[in-house]
Amino acid sequence: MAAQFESQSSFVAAHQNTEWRPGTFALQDAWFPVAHAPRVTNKPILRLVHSRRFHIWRGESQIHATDFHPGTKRGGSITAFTDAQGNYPVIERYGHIWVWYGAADRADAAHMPDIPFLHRDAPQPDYACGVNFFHTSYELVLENILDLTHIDFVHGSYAGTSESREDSISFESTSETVTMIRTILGRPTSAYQRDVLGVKEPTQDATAFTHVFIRSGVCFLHSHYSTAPSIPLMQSNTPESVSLTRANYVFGVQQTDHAEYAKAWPRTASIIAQQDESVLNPQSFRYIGQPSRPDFSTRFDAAGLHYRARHKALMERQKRGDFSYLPDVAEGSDLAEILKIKRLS
Amino acid sequence: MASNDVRQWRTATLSSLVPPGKPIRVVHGNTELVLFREADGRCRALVDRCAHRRAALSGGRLTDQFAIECPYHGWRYNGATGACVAIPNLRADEKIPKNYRVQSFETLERDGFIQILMGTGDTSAEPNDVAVPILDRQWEGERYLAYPEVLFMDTLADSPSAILEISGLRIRDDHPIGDPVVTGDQISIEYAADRIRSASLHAEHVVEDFRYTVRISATKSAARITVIDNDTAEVRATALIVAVPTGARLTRALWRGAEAASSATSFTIECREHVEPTPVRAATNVVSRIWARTPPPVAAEQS
Repeated sequence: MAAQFESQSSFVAAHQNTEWRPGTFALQDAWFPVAHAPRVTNKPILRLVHSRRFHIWRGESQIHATDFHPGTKRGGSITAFTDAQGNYPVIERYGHIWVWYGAADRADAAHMPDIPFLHRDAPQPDYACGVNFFHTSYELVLENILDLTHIDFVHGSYAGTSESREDSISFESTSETVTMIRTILGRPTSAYQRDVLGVKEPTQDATAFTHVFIRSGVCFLHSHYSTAPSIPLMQSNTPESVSLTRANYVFGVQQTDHAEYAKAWPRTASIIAQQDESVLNPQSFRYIGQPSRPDFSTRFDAAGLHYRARHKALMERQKRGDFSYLPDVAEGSDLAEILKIKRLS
Repeated sequence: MASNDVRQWRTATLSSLVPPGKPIRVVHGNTELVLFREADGRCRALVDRCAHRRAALSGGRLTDQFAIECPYHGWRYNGATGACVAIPNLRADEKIPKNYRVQSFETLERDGFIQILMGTGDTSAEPNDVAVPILDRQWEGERYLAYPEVLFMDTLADSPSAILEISGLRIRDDHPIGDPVVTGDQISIEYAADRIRSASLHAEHVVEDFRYTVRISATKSAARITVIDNDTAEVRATALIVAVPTGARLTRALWRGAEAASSATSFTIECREHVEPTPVRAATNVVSRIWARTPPPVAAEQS
């Protein structure tokens, strides 16, 4: 069973001095959704995962991902990441092109998330998709995503202020995933919900789910509001390099019948990303290449610290040559249950 | 145990660049600082890195109590001590540990500059003399140059026209007036200078007498520039230029200047937008070589 935690001070005290060196180790053996499928045509595009180059294009009958541009002659030595012809494992699913970063002979489609709010064999409409870039390592992006208290300060205009009748956080994790759940009662309706979405109620209750996959950085977010419709989000958080994270995003707009809302909400993605970038960008060079130093934490940081601990455990296993998925991985894979959303028929 | 290190006052910025009510970011060497003013105008300096998740405090705001609030999660710090004084959403019975703090620095505001006491040690050096005389007209400015600070003062001493812009005046880098004089950590050198118009009129002739002298008295971090009228021996204008290291590749030049309004000719001494390559190429670098070879004063042996 997945480990379950209430946010607690003892956990924070035990883990806040854990060495945290984002950008120093490339976790492998995972599927990375590097491109929205409609972006891939017969003209090759370049995508990166941990600085490894993936040239991707659409052939007559299949998608190709290679370690060389198809217009050039392949050079360099073959690595375990490709077959003998330089082909990476690649799959088109859920409107994304997924590449396997790791030993090619260990690629297994079973390790791909099952995404209940996306069509398995068709992309989402254009307005529901997009991309943002964060100029920092993907570990810091994931920490940001698991960090709910920054929302009050960085995204207050969209999420409402920090005042609420009750605000509790719990989280659970497996060896591959971390899930955080925040329950808020009596929170003031945000300016965006009021002015753009036309929500009349002055306060609302909300339950926000955040689920991250540690190896790939893929995350899923969904908030249930008592006064407004809800739309789940998938964001790729692909580590292109230690200082650049690609965040391809797609909204599960079919989860609401409110057509205007379905079109309005995805437009917030770039604004929210800019708000996050304003704090993530300066954070980056204070971690990358800097001597290790402890960060101080509170109980509100328990989910992020837990992510650090899980990331470290995975990293240490991979350093020992163990790239396997442990049996508990199944418990973090049912997104319909984790996000409490209906599965697309 | 006592340390032999001596903390040094570092000139960090101009007073006018730290407005009331708004934190600003200043880099000195590899140290990032956030500077802000308290209710009485006193300037505070903290490391610009929240102890929580290393966000830049300079992106935050000042509270009504003049604590600085981090923009990421709202942790608040006291300007005098660097202690974290508030964390949002903590219960009343939850105390903030005493070690939750950021490094704070002593500051000194004097003569239009803000100095910060940096380094380690039990004793501190004297503050820098950054006074500029009060004359009829004052000016000040700042500029970033993509040029290493470690080379800045050597280049200024060797080829001042590469760095200095004095309105209406051409400095003759190839015409030093006497040898440089090294005293302690300071070098003094004078160069001939002429009005730009006169210089162009006499371009074909060897000029032997110049109307002006530009005197440079520099340490490795600051230079006092003086324009002297050779006809009258009168100081026409003076300026202090401070070179603030900003990482390894950038220099932040700060200056304050003053001049007497004794004639219609005005000499505003400033730093150029970039280091001019032509004078640097032409320079023989004799001045900086002498500066480098002159040993620093030897401390008296302790008996």
